[in-house]
Amino acid sequence: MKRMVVSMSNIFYSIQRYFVVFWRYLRLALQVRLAYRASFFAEFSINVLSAVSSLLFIEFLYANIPAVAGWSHDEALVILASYFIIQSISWLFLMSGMWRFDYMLRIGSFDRMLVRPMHPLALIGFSEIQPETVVDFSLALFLLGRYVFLYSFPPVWIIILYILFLFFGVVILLSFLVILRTINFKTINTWSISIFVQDISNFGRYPRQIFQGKLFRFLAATILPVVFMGAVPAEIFLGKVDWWYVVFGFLTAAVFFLSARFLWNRALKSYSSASS
Amino acid sequence: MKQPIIDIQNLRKTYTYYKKPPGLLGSLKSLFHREKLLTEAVKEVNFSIEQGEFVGFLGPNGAGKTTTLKMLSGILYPTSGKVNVLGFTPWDRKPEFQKQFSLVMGQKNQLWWDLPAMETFLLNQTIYEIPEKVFRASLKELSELLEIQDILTIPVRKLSLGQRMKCELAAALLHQPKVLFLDEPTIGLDVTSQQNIRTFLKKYNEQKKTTILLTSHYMDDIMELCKRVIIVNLGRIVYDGSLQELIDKHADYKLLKITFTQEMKRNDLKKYGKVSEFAPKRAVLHVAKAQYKKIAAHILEELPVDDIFIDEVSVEEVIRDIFAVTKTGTV
Ligand SMILES: Nc1ncnc2c1ncn2[C@@H]1O[C@H](COP(=O)(O)OP(=O)(O)OP(=O)(O)O)[C@@H](O)[C@H]1O
Ligand SMILES: [Mg+2]
Repeated sequence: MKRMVVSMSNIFYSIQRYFVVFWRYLRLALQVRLAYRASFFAEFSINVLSAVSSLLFIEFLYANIPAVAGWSHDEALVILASYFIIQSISWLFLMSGMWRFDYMLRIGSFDRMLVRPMHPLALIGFSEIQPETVVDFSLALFLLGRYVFLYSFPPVWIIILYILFLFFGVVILLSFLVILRTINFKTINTWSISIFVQDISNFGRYPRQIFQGKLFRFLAATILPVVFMGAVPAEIFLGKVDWWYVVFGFLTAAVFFLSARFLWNRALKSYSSASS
Repeated sequence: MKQPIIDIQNLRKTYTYYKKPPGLLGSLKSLFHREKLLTEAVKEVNFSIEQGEFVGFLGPNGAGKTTTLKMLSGILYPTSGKVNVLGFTPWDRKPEFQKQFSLVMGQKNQLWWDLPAMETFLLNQTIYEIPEKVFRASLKELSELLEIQDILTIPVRKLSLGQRMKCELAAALLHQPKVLFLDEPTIGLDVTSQQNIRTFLKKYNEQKKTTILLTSHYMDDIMELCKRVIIVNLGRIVYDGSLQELIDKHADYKLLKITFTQEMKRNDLKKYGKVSEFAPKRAVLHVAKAQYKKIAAHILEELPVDDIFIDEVSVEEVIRDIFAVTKTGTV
């Protein structure tokens, strides 16, 4: 019992510590951005534009039809919001840092991350924080707020489950990325992995029902688990989830997380650094 | 019995990589068929280092120095062998271990390019969990020793290479590591900057009793800083001992640097000693330590000498000799 209390307080301490370090890196990233003000505004505007264009897509789609695959316009916006939340959190903590992981391996800057007293994945993620992701995140909160305002506030337990599944969505997406990125330890030059992950995860913004046929439905929930990156959390929020998917979400998150951890650790053993 | 601070046993590292034929066609072919190549970068390395020692780690290009340092820092897993640094196995990468050592590579930098060095220092403070008081004291001490007080607030990209290296060192030492690995820290610096770094390292090692393992191709670094040297060649240790003994043992001769008033023939000089350099009016002779005075006197008497200069053998030369011997197989 006592030992459990100790280890719990250790975990909380580590989480707090990682947030403190994250905060430091975020401040550095902001300072660098502000040093190059023009590019900061450009980057910011591009983020706003791309978020707005996702939104417009749905507006155009629903301009003439009331429902797509059983989803109304307002419900579809909840999927988009869930997708944005999962994407922006993933981008903030790891995806943008991972974008040029192959390059880090090639020039050997990954070495530095292996000698510091923190998890190398955290250091990779923190090394390239994009504060602009706040745009997507804010838009998502706005869309959720709009839905709640127009309809009703979901019960607390639904909110908790929703947050949990947003978290699982992040875990699944990042694990998926890390698993594919371990390929880079063997083939240093494969730079398109992040683009592939991004392309796949784009499907997260659509309803589950767009996947027709047993095979695709199976793939979308297992090997390429995109349904957990937007649709399933949204269904939970809207109270229309198939409970099988909740069970499945737990399992998928656990399996992906453990596989990513295993493969990453194994890849580090074969890491041979860059000659210098 | 006291445990040495660094202990290496039978360390080996073989790199595996794939041969890539040249050209686009070659790249395409290698997609389907790749030829596996092995490099035995470190074949057999054993040594141990006591606390507070300042050891020079020498060897020609490709000897395996950087590879060894990377294993000592936990960046690479070895192919086989045991390493113990500060009671830890480096590649377990325990944070308690990582907080107690530092690795500085001359060609790589950790400072944030666009920001003043101070920002990186503050970042390291959080990463290494350095208490505020310790941090302040450390920073004050290092910036005085390195004379960098005035440049801490200037963006790193505006600093000279020498200034940047000083800041790199400060960033690496803020957490007061017990062990410091330096891989060519003075590479590319001008003579004055090199001298500044050397002076600093010497003082730092004396004051802090930090254990330092240094690789460098500049013999001045080694001569000024290291009592003990470990020499590797082709992944094996060929010498481990005091620098002075190395010089005494291998430098059993002196150099006579002679200029003549008229052109000479090489054969005329051979009877005095080994001719290592020859130009018609200039020559360098190797003569045994015991007889150099006598031989110099003979030369002055018998040849048309303009000037004669007696010099010690440089460490470079001694080490070059050792490598020349090991290349042919006999140590
Ligand atoms: N990442 C790598 N992959 C494959 N081979 C490597 C790698 N790094 C080094 N090597 C090879 O291993 C050998 C030892 O290299 P290492 O960098 O350890 O030498 P070094 O003693 O540090 O040389 P230098 O004085 O030039 O820095 C060399 O033959 C080198 O080509
Ligand atoms: Mg090297």
